[in-house]
Amino acid sequence: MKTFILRRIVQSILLFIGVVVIVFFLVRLSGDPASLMMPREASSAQVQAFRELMGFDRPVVVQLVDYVGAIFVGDFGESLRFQTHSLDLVIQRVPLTFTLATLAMGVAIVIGIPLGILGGMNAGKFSDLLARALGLGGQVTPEFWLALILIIVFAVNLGWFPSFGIDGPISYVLPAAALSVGAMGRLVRLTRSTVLEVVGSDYVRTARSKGLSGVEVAGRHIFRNTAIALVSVISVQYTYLLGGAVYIESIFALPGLGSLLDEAIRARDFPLVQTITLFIAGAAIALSLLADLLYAWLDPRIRLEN
Amino acid sequence: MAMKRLRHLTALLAVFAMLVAACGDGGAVSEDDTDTTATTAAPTDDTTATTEPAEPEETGGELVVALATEPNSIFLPNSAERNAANVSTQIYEGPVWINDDNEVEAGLATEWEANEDATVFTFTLREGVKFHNGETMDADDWIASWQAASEDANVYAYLYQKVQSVVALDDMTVEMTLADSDALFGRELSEWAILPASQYETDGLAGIEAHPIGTGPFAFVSWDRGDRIVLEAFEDYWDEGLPLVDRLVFRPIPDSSTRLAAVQTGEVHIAQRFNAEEAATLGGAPNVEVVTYPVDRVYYIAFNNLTTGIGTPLESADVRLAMNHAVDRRAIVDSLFDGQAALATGLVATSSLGFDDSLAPYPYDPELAVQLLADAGYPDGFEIGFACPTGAYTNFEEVCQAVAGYLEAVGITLDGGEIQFMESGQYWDLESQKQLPPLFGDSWSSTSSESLERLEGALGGEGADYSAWTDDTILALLSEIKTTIDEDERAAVYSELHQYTYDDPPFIYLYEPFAFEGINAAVQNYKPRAAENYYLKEVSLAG
Repeated sequence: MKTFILRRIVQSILLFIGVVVIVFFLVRLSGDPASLMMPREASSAQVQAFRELMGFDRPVVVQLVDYVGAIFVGDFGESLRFQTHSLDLVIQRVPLTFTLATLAMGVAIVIGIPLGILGGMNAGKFSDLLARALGLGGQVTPEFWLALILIIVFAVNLGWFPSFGIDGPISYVLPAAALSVGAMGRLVRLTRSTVLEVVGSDYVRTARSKGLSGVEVAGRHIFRNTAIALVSVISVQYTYLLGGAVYIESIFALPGLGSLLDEAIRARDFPLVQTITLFIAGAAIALSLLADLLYAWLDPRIRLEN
Repeated sequence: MAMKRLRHLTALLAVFAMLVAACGDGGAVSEDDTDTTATTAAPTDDTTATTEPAEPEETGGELVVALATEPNSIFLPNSAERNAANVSTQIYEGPVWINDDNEVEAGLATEWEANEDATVFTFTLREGVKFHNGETMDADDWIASWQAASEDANVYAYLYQKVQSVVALDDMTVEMTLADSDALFGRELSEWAILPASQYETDGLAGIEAHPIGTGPFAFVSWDRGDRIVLEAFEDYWDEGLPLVDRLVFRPIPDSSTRLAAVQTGEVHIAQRFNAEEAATLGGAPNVEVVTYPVDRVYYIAFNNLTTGIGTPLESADVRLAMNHAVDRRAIVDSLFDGQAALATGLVATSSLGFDDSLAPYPYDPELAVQLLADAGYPDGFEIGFACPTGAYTNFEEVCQAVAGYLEAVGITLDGGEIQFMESGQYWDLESQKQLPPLFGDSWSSTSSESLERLEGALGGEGADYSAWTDDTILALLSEIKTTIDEDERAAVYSELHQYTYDDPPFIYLYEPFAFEGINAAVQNYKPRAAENYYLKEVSLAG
């Protein structure tokens, strides 16, 4: 188990460094930041002064080495637009985004998994149909469209919820609902198919023939085996939710990481774009590592294989 | 069994739904209050999580304004765009103010004079003006303000760096010397920010950015990034009796559909930047009024005679006139903007100083265009390169395609067979290097209610980064505008330039779009300007 953990950690670190390099280069392909940050009326002398001030005139490799080095001491650069340390800006916004993603994930789990289990255990009956319909529907619905529909119906027409911003816990309902449907759909379908597979397997038939009741079979065998598949899916879904939060936060004007990324991209503020991207990538890598460890704990076959 | 678990789950969901509905009703009630009885205490949601002290009951209320983007800074010299500047101009004031009739009025200066060549300006400061921190304004504050604003870190530092020196002739008299003569300097001063010298000396720019202190009608209270900026009425504001509301809250709402929803529910009182369709939706709502005006921005297709356009047919005035007659602007505006734009006749915008309203938009006359082309020696038309930016302006890609179509109808075809579309960042880079094809689409706005910025930028020739056109007469007229201090005389020069560029067009002039804003019916006296800026000191909320 120990070598497994160590190996996964080292892999994760190497992956993160790879992401840093990729993000660094990708972000520089979009045009000269100096002339874009300065107003159009500024003279080329002023733009050049700005370029020098920011170090954009140095060779790209020098800039990269500088950047990677700085990250390892926690210096993610200063946001061009807001002129504060970009990591500070990110940390300020992180709680909201993680709360939103967690709530959406919670809704997806609470509705999706039971529905999937129900469908899987009653294959072919009405509840299964419902599960499949909701699963597919959830997956194909575009989240931003759903967000706007929810705003029109529940905020403008019914007035039950605020249409934007955070003014208390009530403000999380519509955004979390909109964000959750995709993950919910996927969870329903995956849970259902895993349950179907498990229900038809040998050990369940054996358990049943031993005289175990439905609940015990469900609890001990079905659930545990389903959980293994769900753990990795949930961790991947969670990182998708962090990404999906960009649209939802922009639409609902929530002061989270997603809306910050949206602003940063539009302003071509690339230190900030890089920092946010790295933060989310880092979170994704960490979650995936966690999921793997959990997976290995749940399923002995994983940690024993080479 | 799963059934039991499902039942438990359903019960839990039902409880959750009931809780949610209960909170929802609370929210709805306070929203209704905002619409109908705005003279009561600040109509913020009672469910808000932020700690707000109980406000005493006052007439005035809380005005909520939606911003289209999160400001980068609310220190005016560093406010990168209009949304940020609109927050900042409620906090800071400059030596002069431009009133609703587009005239320059006294602001923090009560009198001023300029020397003959508009290089030295002397100001008499207004007495008894207080800053938000209680200090009284004097000449030292003006010097410090200029120094703070001129720091390179500020986006608009170059506007202040035009001034070579700021000297206190006495406690209440200031002399500014400019490096070059600039007749527009007087107007530009309306967007200066006067701050307390003590703040700059003690806290520097960082302190100013964290807590802006000015002389304006509203004082800074707090800024929760991405969430809201809160300002409150300044009791000792020098203009007695103003402002009329107690608090200003600015909420960034980047998505226009959400802004639309927010103004319909009454969660915000003022929202800008809607398009024609969204404005039409608002038209029906009982508690919302739509405000429309032509924005001080001109869209055009530019010609190049400096670099890529040398040796092309564009050098002939007849050819350029032909192209202006070949395009049916009315049709473009009607189909793409629902008719909601003014047809441009020059780079001097409708609302600008010196706009010559006797000049009518070129009539759509493809036959005349063909005739003019033949006269110029191109009976069979010609080929030319044409580029257009993507993702920069609403529907502009379609506008360019329409223009290309009209040109083709009179025999002018595109180099390479199609328009060169480019992502806006790359496009403007090439534009600043004068490397775009001889025809390229763009627009330019002006924030000073005079078109000089735009004219110099697009017609300044070699010396102006984004200009692709050089003409000695135009350059001479631009110089004259810059040195004519008297506004009426300057207006005459603008008109002359307008006429000249109409007879010999360096552009295919297209349109000036309309702005659409949604305003809650309770808001009184809201008067936005053509540059989409507004002053809120005289705005009130009706009972």
